[in-house]
Parts: sequence; C-alpha cells; structure tokens
Amino acid sequence: MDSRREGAYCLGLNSTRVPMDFSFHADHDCNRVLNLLNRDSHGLSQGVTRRLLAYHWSLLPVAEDGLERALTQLSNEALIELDDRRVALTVTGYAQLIDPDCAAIEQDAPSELHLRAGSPTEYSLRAIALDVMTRGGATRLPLKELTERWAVSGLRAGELRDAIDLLQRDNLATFGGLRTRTVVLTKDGQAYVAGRPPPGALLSMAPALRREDLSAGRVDSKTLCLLAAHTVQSSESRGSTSFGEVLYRLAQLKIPDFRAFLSLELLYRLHHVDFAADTGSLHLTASGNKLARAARGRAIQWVIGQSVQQS
Amino acid sequence: MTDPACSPSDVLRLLIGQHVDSVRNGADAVVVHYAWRKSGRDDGDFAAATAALHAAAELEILHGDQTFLRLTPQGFQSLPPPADVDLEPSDEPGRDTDFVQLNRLQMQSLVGEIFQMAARAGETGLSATALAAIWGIEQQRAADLRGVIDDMLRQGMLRVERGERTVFFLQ
Repeated sequence: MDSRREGAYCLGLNSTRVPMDFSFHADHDCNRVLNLLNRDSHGLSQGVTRRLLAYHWSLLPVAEDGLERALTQLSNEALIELDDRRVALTVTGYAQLIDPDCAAIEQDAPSELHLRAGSPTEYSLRAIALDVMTRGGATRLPLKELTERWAVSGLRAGELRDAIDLLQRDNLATFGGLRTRTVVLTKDGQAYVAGRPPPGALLSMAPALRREDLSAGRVDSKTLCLLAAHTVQSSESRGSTSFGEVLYRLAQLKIPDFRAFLSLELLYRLHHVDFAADTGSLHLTASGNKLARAARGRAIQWVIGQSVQQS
Repeated sequence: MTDPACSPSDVLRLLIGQHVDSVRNGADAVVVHYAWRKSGRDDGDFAAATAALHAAAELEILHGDQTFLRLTPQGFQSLPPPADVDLEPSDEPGRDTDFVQLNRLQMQSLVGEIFQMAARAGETGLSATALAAIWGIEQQRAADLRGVIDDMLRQGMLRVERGERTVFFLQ
C-alpha cells in the first residue's frame, strides 16, 4: 500500500520523521545497514543492539539473509565493529556517515505491516502490538526494548501505552520483573499469536478503538470463548448463524462491542468455530461444542455475563 | 551518567555522544544543554566547554531551525568505550535504571520543571523531539508522555504550535 495515496491511513505513524536515507555505500544492503545505524544509534559509543538491528531489518522489504552478509562486509571494510550483541561505528564509519558529500536518497518503502486502511480499531492495534513484540520469536521483552522497537517501526510512543493497556485488559500480556519492567506474553497471548487469523467477514465488523474502553477490567480468553460458544450454539439452534448474528445477540446481552468482537475472534482463532465463506455461516467445532456444553448452566452463564459486562 | 572527575570538555563530548538524534544530525543543543544542567554544571562552563571542543576541532555547531552539536571524527575518537550493559531481561532487583513511576500530577509537575530548566537559557518553547529526549533523561517512559501532554494542553497549561516542527510552550 502506498501511504501517500488518498485515504491511506497508518496507525500512529510518526509523521514528524523525515523519510530520507543517504548514499553512504555502493552496496545496497551495506547502505541499508549504515542508514539504520544512522537512524537508530542514540548513543554513539553504544551503537545499536543486534536484536534491534535485526528487528528493524525485518521491517524492510529485503531478503532476511542480507543483513549478516552486509555486516560481515562492513566489518571487513572497518566501517563497523561488532560482537555478538552490538554493532557500532568505527571512526572511519562515523566519518563516512557525517560526510557532507553523501547524497540524500529516498528511503526504502515502509513495511505494509503497520499500514491500515480506515479508522484504527482495537484489532489493528492488537495485531501491530503483538507483531512488534513477537517478531523474531520473543515472548518477553524489556519495556525499553519494546519502546525501541515501537520507535523504529515509526509508531508514536503514546500509542504504545494504549497497546500495552489493550494487551493487559485482554489478558494477552502482563508486566513482569521487579526492577527491569518486562512485558510478557501470557498463555492466552501465546495461544492468540499461534492461532489462525480471522476472515475478512469478521474483520469488517471490528469496532473502532476507543480509549475509554481500554481501562475496562481484565477478562481471560477462556471466559470469552465460553460466552461466544454459548451464543453461537443458541443462534445455531434456530438455523444457520453468521458473525453478524452472533455479535447482534451479544449486544442484546449488553456485552460491550469490543468484548463481543474479541470473544468471537478468539473462538475462531482458537479453532472452536469454523466459518464457511460460501454461505457465510458459522459452525462450532468439537472443542467449540464442548465449550458450549460447559457454559450451559444458568449459574455459569450468569457468572460469565457478569464478568464480561461489569469489567 | 557522567563522572564528576571528568573535565568539562570530556563531559560535553560524552553528553553529545549519548543524546544524538541521529549520527548524521548530531545532538539537539537544547537536549545536551538540559543534560548538562541536570548534571549540576553551570551555563558558563557549558559555553566554555563548547568553545574548547570547537577550537580543538572536535565539535561542529550546525545551525538551522534548531541548533545541533555534532562531534567530528576526532571528537568521536575521543569518546570513552561503552559501559558493559546486560541486555537480557531479568527479575533480579537492582539491575535496571533509575526509573521511578510517577503519578499523573507528578508527571505534570516534572514537565513544568523541564520547561523551567530549559527556559533558564532563554528557550521558551521545546520541540516535541527535544521534550521526548529530555523526558528520557529524566528516566521516564516515552509511553507516558503523550497522556501528560494531552492533559496539560486540555487544562491550558501548555500550548502547541504546529508547523515543520511541533513546539510546546508552557503557559
């Protein structure tokens, strides 16, 4: 997607950054690495961590293995120094980066990952936050590193606060560590990430992001799935049902729309319900039916309803 | 942050190296000056250290909308090697930064103090990038800054001017 096209929307893209690179090196990948060092080094002696460099590289539309090759070449040319944790400029490399004769060039197109059409939704913020956090296989990150990843992704720092609130509210992540504040994916979060992406028919119903919803209480995935499975089953008993029908029934139960959407998203993502695209209908799987049976009693329905409505 | 035994030139070189906006841009002079004052040093010494590094061809002063301080390769070469920092997350106490969680009122008060400290050298407004960098010098989380700014704008404690740069002014 071209972010400059009319109507394009980028969630939290930091528009104050000037998207300009420089021609530091004749080799394209080496030049990319030097440009990343130029932008991401906020301490000259420390340079950049290899983890942050690898994260930023992964956002570029280039081959993954190009990074290691470029680092080796730059090291051989004595432009950088590297160990297993950090990459820093040598004096020669530094002189190259501040050389006034290096021409400005257009920056690589940003990854499509963080570009979304239309208004921001909880779903889009959740997807971005989890991608930023888990890219490269991480399940826990120091808050400092998460903040650095967020910044190099071109996202605004303020949206990170919303993203963390969102993940905590939905029990997908939590804070750990006594002094080193670390954001940790919960079991619910790991299951969410490993799950299947929802179909467009559901995504088109994703509610808009509203800051006031982010302060709602925490509800775990099991509770939400019980609620959604019960609602799908009671809708199915009257014939075939759809995403819209289930969301409508949840709204009648006075379930807030953000909870209703997430409960149905989770039910699909965790393989408790299948979606027939040709008929637009939903069908509980064996595990979904089991959840619906577990949610059958009036007492448990009341408890689920209370926890979701009052949170 | 800085060794008090270092000479003023060493301190200034170090602060520039610690606060670069990008390698090519160098460091925003407002941010470096703030860090200098935060370390308890006076403005006269800042001017003297700047002049000394400039005279020794270790420093370039780049004027534009904002003034940036950039080390020359000679200045870069004089930077001390980086301290060894453990990058792995840990649950052990006593291994992280000096972060102190402030409540919203304390954050507003800190923003006020930041503006007052910056204003001592005649900087009435602070760009959004400078304010974010100074917020980091104060060991505060970047993610908390927007909420405080929003509150202060709403309450009329700050005003904002938007153009090529976003600049905040304390009311």
